[in-house]
Amino acid sequence: MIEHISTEKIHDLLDGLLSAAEEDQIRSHVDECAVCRSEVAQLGDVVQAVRGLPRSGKAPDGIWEGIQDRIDGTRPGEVEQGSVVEFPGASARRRRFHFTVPQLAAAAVVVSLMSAGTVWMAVSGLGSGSAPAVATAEAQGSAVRAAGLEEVGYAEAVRELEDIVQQGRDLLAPETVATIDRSLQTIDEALADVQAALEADPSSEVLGRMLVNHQRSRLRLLRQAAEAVWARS
Amino acid sequence: MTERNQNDRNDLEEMGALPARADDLAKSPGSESVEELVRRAQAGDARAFEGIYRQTADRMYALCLRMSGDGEEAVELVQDVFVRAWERLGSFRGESLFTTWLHRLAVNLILQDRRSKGRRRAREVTTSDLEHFGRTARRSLPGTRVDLERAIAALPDKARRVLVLRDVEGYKYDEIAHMTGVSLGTVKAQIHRARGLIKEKLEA
Repeated sequence: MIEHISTEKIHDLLDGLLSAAEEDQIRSHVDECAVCRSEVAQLGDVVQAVRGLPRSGKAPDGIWEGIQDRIDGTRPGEVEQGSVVEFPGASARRRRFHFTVPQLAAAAVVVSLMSAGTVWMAVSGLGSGSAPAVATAEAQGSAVRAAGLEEVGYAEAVRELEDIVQQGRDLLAPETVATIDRSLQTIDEALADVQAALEADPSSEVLGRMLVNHQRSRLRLLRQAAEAVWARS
Repeated sequence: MTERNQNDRNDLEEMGALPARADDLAKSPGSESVEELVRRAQAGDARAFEGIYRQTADRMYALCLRMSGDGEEAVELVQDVFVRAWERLGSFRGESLFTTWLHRLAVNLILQDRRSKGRRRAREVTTSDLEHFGRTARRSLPGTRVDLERAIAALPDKARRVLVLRDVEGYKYDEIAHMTGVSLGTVKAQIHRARGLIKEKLEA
């Protein structure tokens, strides 16, 4: 049986990432194997076509006017000088935040403590100490373990912390931002796996606990990131 | 010209961001160069900044349109890029070409914007969206292959972004891994998947 070239090797060939010896070997095989020849030709056509696309276009009218509205009355570098931190990617049509650095610092501390604390108490079953409150918290804790933290303000807490971290990204070192993003991605992927598994087996307590643990990790990471923003501000 | 400037220029020429052998990317007949405009804009001249916009907006729009796969979002992103550039002008020290600096700022902003949105909602692309995108591409990217543009726009967000960075914008795999904050292996897998999906789409 002929062993065909792996798809990865074909991409590496098209990207020019193979050594001369490897390339010779693959090209020899391609000369003799119609299946691989066809695959190389088809993928090669795709790559060539995409690389041949025009890199410039024609921006629609009216974009400059929107920019002008937003920079009108300001001078370049005002943000760099540290008075205001703007939500990256915000536009006039979307939600916009303008916090001074001291406001941002205060928000980071308050929100991280309140949001994370509230959620943590609910998950841990810690109430105010009175019997009804403890009973309620215990019942809530059980529900939370089955359904994740969505019922106890997890989404809201995460959103608030994400906003703070997002707005303070520029205050952090690029390596720190990259590490935070990578860690969040890892947790998000784990969360997605568990959520998918829970859809197939919604009554699984093990999966419920895993979901809560991953959500706690996410909250903890965001809180640490918000604290890092605070420390830099 | 410093070695770093020359390297930036070479990279941009390879990427198609610069016309090859153009002595000054930004020098067009009857207009100031981008570098001259930048100096004036840094002093607070908003009209000079508009001049920068006029000379670079088409390139930025094409980047934002392909990276987002959405015409309206691309307009918002272009505005965000130039507002951010205005805010950051003070940090541009001329150590690279301004267009290199602007391009990297745009890519970072687009990736940040998508990361932020991606955690909140998954993007769903409908047939109607793609037809609308096709019309936008036909109008905004003259001379392009609309079927190919639609196939790229239909890709999953992450796969589309890395494919555009690699095969359209000409970034290297390791640069993309650094910019997106994911491993080299993941970037390669996403690009391979994207190319495969486009092949299937074009064959269908």
